[in-house]
Amino acid sequence: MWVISPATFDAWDLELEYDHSETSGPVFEALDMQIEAIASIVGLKGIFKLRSADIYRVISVTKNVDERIPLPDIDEPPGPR
Amino acid sequence: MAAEDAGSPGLREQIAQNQQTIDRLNRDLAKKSDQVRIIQQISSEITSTLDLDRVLEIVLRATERVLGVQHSMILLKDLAENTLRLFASRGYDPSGVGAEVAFGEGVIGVVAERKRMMRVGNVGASIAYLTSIRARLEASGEMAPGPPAAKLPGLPNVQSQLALPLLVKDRLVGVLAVESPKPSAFDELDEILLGIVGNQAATAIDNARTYQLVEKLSRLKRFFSPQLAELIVTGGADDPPPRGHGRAPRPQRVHRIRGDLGT
Repeated sequence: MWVISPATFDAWDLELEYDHSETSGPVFEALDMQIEAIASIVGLKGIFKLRSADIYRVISVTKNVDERIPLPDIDEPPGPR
Repeated sequence: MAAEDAGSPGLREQIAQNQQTIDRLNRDLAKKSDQVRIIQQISSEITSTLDLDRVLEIVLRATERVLGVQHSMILLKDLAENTLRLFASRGYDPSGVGAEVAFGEGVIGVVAERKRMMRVGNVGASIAYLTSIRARLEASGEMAPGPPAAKLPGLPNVQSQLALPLLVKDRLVGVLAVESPKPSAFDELDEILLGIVGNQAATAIDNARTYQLVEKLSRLKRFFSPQLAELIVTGGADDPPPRGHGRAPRPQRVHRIRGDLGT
Protein backbone atom coordinates (compact mmCIF):
# COMPACT_ATOMS: atom_id res chain seq x y z
CA MET A 1 0.00 0.00 0.00
CA TRP A 2 1.36 3.36 -1.04
CA VAL A 3 0.26 6.43 0.91
CA ILE A 4 1.13 10.11 0.77
CA SER A 5 1.41 12.19 3.92
CA PRO A 6 -1.15 14.97 3.63
CA ALA A 7 1.14 17.31 5.55
CA THR A 8 4.49 16.84 3.80
CA PHE A 9 3.50 14.90 0.65
CA ASP A 10 6.16 12.35 1.53
CA ALA A 11 5.44 8.93 0.07
CA TRP A 12 5.36 5.89 2.33
CA ASP A 13 5.12 2.18 1.61
CA LEU A 14 2.97 0.34 4.13
CA GLU A 15 2.93 -3.41 4.44
CA LEU A 16 -0.52 -4.29 5.71
CA GLU A 17 -2.37 -7.34 6.90
CA TYR A 18 -6.17 -7.34 6.86
CA ASP A 19 -7.62 -7.67 10.34
CA HIS A 20 -11.37 -7.06 10.27
CA SER A 21 -14.15 -4.80 8.99
CA GLU A 22 -16.33 -2.55 11.11
CA THR A 23 -19.83 -1.39 10.21
CA SER A 24 -20.46 0.47 13.47
CA GLY A 25 -18.49 1.88 16.38
CA PRO A 26 -16.38 5.01 16.84
CA VAL A 27 -14.05 4.54 13.85
CA PHE A 28 -16.87 3.79 11.43
CA GLU A 29 -19.01 6.60 12.81
CA ALA A 30 -16.18 9.16 12.58
CA LEU A 31 -15.46 8.30 8.93
CA ASP A 32 -19.16 8.19 8.05
CA MET A 33 -19.76 11.62 9.62
CA GLN A 34 -16.85 13.16 7.72
CA ILE A 35 -18.10 11.82 4.39
CA GLU A 36 -21.61 13.06 5.07
CA ALA A 37 -20.40 16.48 6.21
CA ILE A 38 -18.21 17.14 3.18
CA ALA A 39 -20.74 15.63 0.74
CA SER A 40 -23.50 17.86 2.11
CA ILE A 41 -21.36 20.95 1.49
CA VAL A 42 -20.93 20.17 -2.23
CA GLY A 43 -24.56 19.10 -2.67
CA LEU A 44 -23.89 15.35 -2.78
CA LYS A 45 -25.61 14.48 0.48
CA GLY A 46 -26.72 10.85 0.70
CA ILE A 47 -24.89 9.84 -2.48
CA PHE A 48 -21.81 8.44 -0.79
CA LYS A 49 -22.56 5.67 1.65
CA LEU A 50 -19.83 4.22 3.83
CA ARG A 51 -20.24 0.42 3.78
CA SER A 52 -17.48 -0.51 6.18
CA ALA A 53 -14.23 0.58 7.78
CA ASP A 54 -11.53 -2.01 7.12
CA ILE A 55 -8.96 -2.30 9.87
CA TYR A 56 -5.45 -3.44 8.93
CA ARG A 57 -2.43 -4.39 10.98
CA VAL A 58 0.65 -2.41 9.89
CA ILE A 59 3.54 -4.84 9.42
CA SER A 60 6.11 -2.33 8.22
CA VAL A 61 6.50 1.29 7.19
CA THR A 62 9.14 2.37 4.70
CA LYS A 63 9.71 5.85 3.38
CA ASN A 64 9.51 5.73 -0.38
CA VAL A 65 12.32 8.11 -1.27
CA ASP A 66 11.95 7.69 -5.04
CA GLU A 67 8.36 8.83 -5.06
CA ARG A 68 8.91 12.01 -3.09
CA ILE A 69 7.30 14.96 -4.80
CA PRO A 70 9.58 17.98 -4.52
CA LEU A 71 7.84 20.90 -2.87
CA PRO A 72 8.91 24.46 -2.16
CA ASP A 73 9.90 25.11 1.43
CA ILE A 74 6.61 25.82 3.15
CA ASP A 75 7.78 25.49 6.74
CA GLU A 76 5.89 27.97 8.82
CA PRO A 77 7.05 29.29 12.16
CA PRO A 78 5.18 27.82 15.14
CA GLY A 79 2.52 30.14 16.37
CA PRO A 80 -1.20 30.47 16.90
CA ARG A 81 -3.37 28.42 14.59
CA MET B 1 33.43 4.48 28.13
CA ALA B 2 31.54 7.66 28.76
CA ALA B 3 34.71 9.36 30.02
CA GLU B 4 36.62 8.41 26.86
CA ASP B 5 33.91 9.68 24.54
CA ALA B 6 32.96 12.76 26.51
CA GLY B 7 34.74 15.03 24.10
CA SER B 8 33.60 13.31 20.92
CA PRO B 9 31.35 15.37 18.62
CA GLY B 10 28.83 12.51 18.47
CA LEU B 11 28.28 12.47 22.20
CA ARG B 12 28.11 16.23 22.49
CA GLU B 13 25.54 16.28 19.77
CA GLN B 14 23.62 13.62 21.69
CA ILE B 15 23.75 15.71 24.89
CA ALA B 16 22.55 18.78 23.02
CA GLN B 17 19.71 16.77 21.54
CA ASN B 18 18.73 15.43 24.96
CA GLN B 19 18.72 18.96 26.33
CA GLN B 20 16.44 20.04 23.50
CA THR B 21 14.09 17.16 24.32
CA ILE B 22 14.05 18.13 28.00
CA ASP B 23 13.36 21.77 27.08
CA ARG B 24 10.51 20.71 24.82
CA LEU B 25 9.00 18.48 27.52
CA ASN B 26 9.25 21.33 30.01
CA ARG B 27 7.48 23.66 27.61
CA ASP B 28 4.78 21.02 27.03
CA LEU B 29 4.37 20.60 30.77
CA ALA B 30 4.09 24.35 31.32
CA LYS B 31 1.48 24.53 28.56
CA LYS B 32 -0.49 21.70 30.14
CA SER B 33 -0.57 23.21 33.61
CA ASP B 34 -1.61 26.47 31.97
CA GLN B 35 -4.49 24.64 30.30
CA VAL B 36 -5.60 23.09 33.58
CA ARG B 37 -5.52 26.52 35.23
CA ILE B 38 -7.60 28.09 32.46
CA ILE B 39 -10.15 25.27 32.66
CA GLN B 40 -10.46 25.79 36.43
CA GLN B 41 -10.92 29.49 35.81
CA ILE B 42 -13.72 28.95 33.30
CA SER B 43 -15.84 26.98 35.70
CA SER B 44 -15.87 29.80 38.23
CA GLU B 45 -16.26 32.57 35.61
CA ILE B 46 -18.98 30.82 33.69
CA THR B 47 -21.26 30.25 36.66
CA SER B 48 -20.90 33.88 37.80
CA THR B 49 -23.39 35.24 35.27
CA LEU B 50 -26.74 34.44 33.68
CA ASP B 51 -26.27 36.87 30.82
CA LEU B 52 -26.26 34.79 27.62
CA ASP B 53 -23.94 37.07 25.61
CA ARG B 54 -21.52 37.20 28.49
CA VAL B 55 -21.54 33.40 28.89
CA LEU B 56 -20.87 32.91 25.17
CA GLU B 57 -18.03 35.43 25.32
CA ILE B 58 -16.44 33.61 28.28
CA VAL B 59 -16.72 30.25 26.53
CA LEU B 60 -15.16 31.51 23.29
CA ARG B 61 -12.32 33.30 25.08
CA ALA B 62 -11.58 30.19 27.13
CA THR B 63 -11.65 28.01 24.00
CA GLU B 64 -9.26 30.37 22.27
CA ARG B 65 -6.80 30.27 25.16
CA VAL B 66 -6.97 26.56 25.96
CA LEU B 67 -6.69 25.38 22.35
CA GLY B 68 -4.58 28.26 21.01
CA VAL B 69 -7.05 28.86 18.18
CA GLN B 70 -7.97 32.15 16.53
CA HIS B 71 -11.31 31.21 15.01
CA SER B 72 -14.15 29.94 17.16
CA MET B 73 -17.93 30.12 17.10
CA ILE B 74 -21.02 29.05 18.98
CA LEU B 75 -24.25 28.12 17.26
CA LEU B 76 -27.40 27.54 19.27
CA LYS B 77 -30.25 25.27 18.36
CA ASP B 78 -33.47 26.99 17.42
CA LEU B 79 -35.96 26.38 20.22
CA ALA B 80 -38.67 25.09 17.91
CA GLU B 81 -36.93 23.76 14.80
CA ASN B 82 -33.96 21.61 13.90
CA THR B 83 -31.74 24.45 12.74
CA LEU B 84 -28.76 26.20 14.29
CA ARG B 85 -28.10 29.90 14.43
CA LEU B 86 -24.72 31.54 14.94
CA PHE B 87 -24.90 33.46 18.22
CA ALA B 88 -21.28 34.41 18.86
CA SER B 89 -17.91 34.17 17.15
CA ARG B 90 -14.30 35.25 17.55
CA GLY B 91 -11.79 35.79 14.79
CA TYR B 92 -14.21 36.37 11.91
CA ASP B 93 -14.83 39.49 9.88
CA PRO B 94 -17.76 39.89 9.50
CA SER B 95 -18.76 37.98 12.62
CA GLY B 96 -21.40 35.95 10.79
CA VAL B 97 -23.77 36.25 13.75
CA GLY B 98 -27.31 35.38 12.69
CA ALA B 99 -26.27 32.92 9.99
CA GLU B 100 -28.29 29.72 9.93
CA VAL B 101 -27.13 26.14 9.51
CA ALA B 102 -29.60 23.33 8.86
CA PHE B 103 -29.18 20.02 10.66
CA GLY B 104 -27.10 17.65 8.55
CA GLU B 105 -25.45 20.45 6.60
CA GLY B 106 -21.67 20.62 6.70
CA VAL B 107 -19.46 19.61 9.62
CA ILE B 108 -21.44 21.63 12.16
CA GLY B 109 -24.83 20.48 10.87
CA VAL B 110 -23.83 16.81 10.95
CA VAL B 111 -22.41 17.20 14.47
CA ALA B 112 -25.78 18.63 15.56
CA GLU B 113 -27.71 15.84 13.88
CA ARG B 114 -25.58 13.01 15.27
CA LYS B 115 -24.76 14.66 18.60
CA ARG B 116 -21.15 13.56 18.23
CA MET B 117 -17.89 15.46 18.05
CA MET B 118 -16.18 15.66 14.66
CA ARG B 119 -12.60 16.49 13.75
CA VAL B 120 -11.65 17.05 10.12
CA GLY B 121 -8.11 17.95 9.07
CA ASN B 122 -8.50 18.49 5.34
CA VAL B 123 -11.83 20.18 4.72
CA GLY B 124 -10.69 22.23 1.72
CA ALA B 125 -8.98 19.32 -0.01
CA SER B 126 -11.99 17.05 0.58
CA ILE B 127 -14.38 19.65 -0.79
CA ALA B 128 -12.18 20.13 -3.86
CA TYR B 129 -12.11 16.35 -4.39
CA LEU B 130 -15.88 15.87 -4.13
CA THR B 131 -16.53 18.98 -6.21
CA SER B 132 -14.52 17.48 -9.06
CA ILE B 133 -16.41 14.18 -8.69
CA ARG B 134 -19.66 16.08 -8.88
CA ALA B 135 -18.51 17.97 -11.97
CA ARG B 136 -17.70 14.65 -13.64
CA LEU B 137 -21.10 13.18 -12.68
CA GLU B 138 -22.82 16.22 -14.11
CA ALA B 139 -20.71 16.18 -17.28
CA SER B 140 -21.52 12.51 -17.95
CA GLY B 141 -25.21 13.16 -17.34
CA GLU B 142 -25.34 10.80 -14.34
CA MET B 143 -26.47 13.66 -12.19
CA ALA B 144 -28.53 16.72 -12.88
CA PRO B 145 -26.70 20.01 -12.32
CA GLY B 146 -27.73 21.25 -8.92
CA PRO B 147 -27.26 24.30 -6.78
CA PRO B 148 -23.67 25.31 -5.96
CA ALA B 149 -22.02 24.49 -2.64
CA ALA B 150 -23.96 25.59 0.42
CA LYS B 151 -22.81 28.85 1.96
CA LEU B 152 -21.89 28.02 5.53
CA PRO B 153 -20.53 30.33 8.20
CA GLY B 154 -16.79 30.04 8.78
CA LEU B 155 -13.42 30.69 7.20
CA PRO B 156 -13.50 30.72 3.39
CA ASN B 157 -10.14 28.89 3.36
CA VAL B 158 -10.88 26.46 6.20
CA GLN B 159 -8.81 23.26 6.30
CA SER B 160 -9.26 22.03 9.87
CA GLN B 161 -12.44 21.95 11.87
CA LEU B 162 -13.26 20.59 15.28
CA ALA B 163 -16.93 20.76 16.25
CA LEU B 164 -18.49 19.66 19.51
CA PRO B 165 -22.18 19.17 20.25
CA LEU B 166 -23.21 21.08 23.39
CA LEU B 167 -25.41 18.64 25.26
CA VAL B 168 -27.35 18.90 28.51
CA LYS B 169 -28.08 15.28 29.36
CA ASP B 170 -28.91 14.12 25.84
CA ARG B 171 -30.57 17.34 24.66
CA LEU B 172 -28.75 19.42 22.06
CA VAL B 173 -28.22 23.04 23.09
CA GLY B 174 -25.88 24.02 20.28
CA VAL B 175 -22.50 23.45 18.66
CA LEU B 176 -19.11 24.85 19.65
CA ALA B 177 -16.71 24.88 16.69
CA VAL B 178 -13.10 25.90 16.12
CA GLU B 179 -11.41 26.28 12.75
CA SER B 180 -8.02 26.76 11.21
CA PRO B 181 -6.79 27.50 7.69
CA LYS B 182 -3.95 25.02 8.38
CA PRO B 183 -4.44 21.33 7.58
CA SER B 184 -4.56 18.81 10.46
CA ALA B 185 -4.41 21.63 13.02
CA PHE B 186 -6.22 19.66 15.73
CA ASP B 187 -5.47 16.38 17.44
CA GLU B 188 -6.93 14.03 20.08
CA LEU B 189 -5.78 16.28 22.93
CA ASP B 190 -7.70 19.19 21.41
CA GLU B 191 -10.80 16.97 21.36
CA ILE B 192 -10.40 16.27 25.08
CA LEU B 193 -9.80 19.93 25.96
CA LEU B 194 -12.71 21.18 23.87
CA GLY B 195 -14.87 18.48 25.45
CA ILE B 196 -14.06 19.77 28.95
CA VAL B 197 -14.82 23.38 28.01
CA GLY B 198 -17.96 22.28 26.17
CA ASN B 199 -19.38 20.29 29.07
CA GLN B 200 -19.36 23.34 31.29
CA ALA B 201 -20.46 25.62 28.47
CA ALA B 202 -23.56 23.58 27.62
CA THR B 203 -25.08 23.81 31.08
CA ALA B 204 -24.21 27.48 31.52
CA ILE B 205 -25.61 28.41 28.10
CA ASP B 206 -28.76 26.41 28.73
CA ASN B 207 -29.30 28.09 32.10
CA ALA B 208 -28.71 31.57 30.64
CA ARG B 209 -31.13 30.87 27.81
CA THR B 210 -33.83 29.60 30.15
CA TYR B 211 -33.31 32.67 32.34
CA GLN B 212 -33.68 34.90 29.27
CA LEU B 213 -37.00 33.22 28.45
CA VAL B 214 -38.31 33.47 31.99
CA GLU B 215 -37.42 37.18 31.93
CA LYS B 216 -39.37 37.60 28.72
CA LEU B 217 -42.35 35.83 30.25
CA SER B 218 -42.30 38.06 33.32
CA ARG B 219 -42.10 41.16 31.11
CA LEU B 220 -45.12 39.87 29.21
CA LYS B 221 -46.99 39.49 32.48
CA ARG B 222 -46.63 43.21 33.09
CA PHE B 223 -48.60 43.96 29.95
CA PHE B 224 -51.08 41.12 30.06
CA SER B 225 -52.94 39.45 32.87
CA PRO B 226 -51.10 36.37 34.15
CA GLN B 227 -53.85 34.24 32.63
CA LEU B 228 -53.38 35.83 29.22
CA ALA B 229 -49.60 35.59 29.44
CA GLU B 230 -49.92 31.90 30.25
CA LEU B 231 -52.34 31.52 27.38
CA ILE B 232 -49.86 33.15 25.00
CA VAL B 233 -47.12 30.96 26.44
CA THR B 234 -49.08 27.83 25.73
CA GLY B 235 -49.89 29.10 22.28
CA GLY B 236 -53.62 28.79 22.93
CA ALA B 237 -53.37 25.11 23.75
CA ASP B 238 -56.46 23.52 25.29
CA ASP B 239 -54.61 22.44 28.38
CA PRO B 240 -52.55 25.33 29.75
CA PRO B 241 -50.09 24.52 32.54
CA PRO B 242 -51.08 25.46 36.09
CA ARG B 243 -50.28 29.13 36.54
CA GLY B 244 -48.41 31.06 39.17
CA HIS B 245 -45.93 28.43 40.27
CA GLY B 246 -42.85 30.10 38.85
CA ARG B 247 -42.38 27.15 36.56
CA ALA B 248 -39.92 27.57 33.71
CA PRO B 249 -41.90 27.83 30.49
CA ARG B 250 -41.53 25.19 27.84
CA PRO B 251 -39.02 26.83 25.49
CA GLN B 252 -40.85 26.19 22.19
CA ARG B 253 -44.01 27.84 23.50
CA VAL B 254 -42.20 30.98 24.48
CA HIS B 255 -40.60 31.08 21.07
CA ARG B 256 -44.10 31.45 19.65
CA ILE B 257 -44.66 34.48 21.84
CA ARG B 258 -41.66 36.13 20.27
CA GLY B 259 -43.10 35.44 16.85
CA ASP B 260 -46.53 36.71 17.85
CA LEU B 261 -45.22 39.97 19.19
CA GLY B 262 -42.75 40.41 16.38
CA THR B 263 -39.86 41.06 18.73
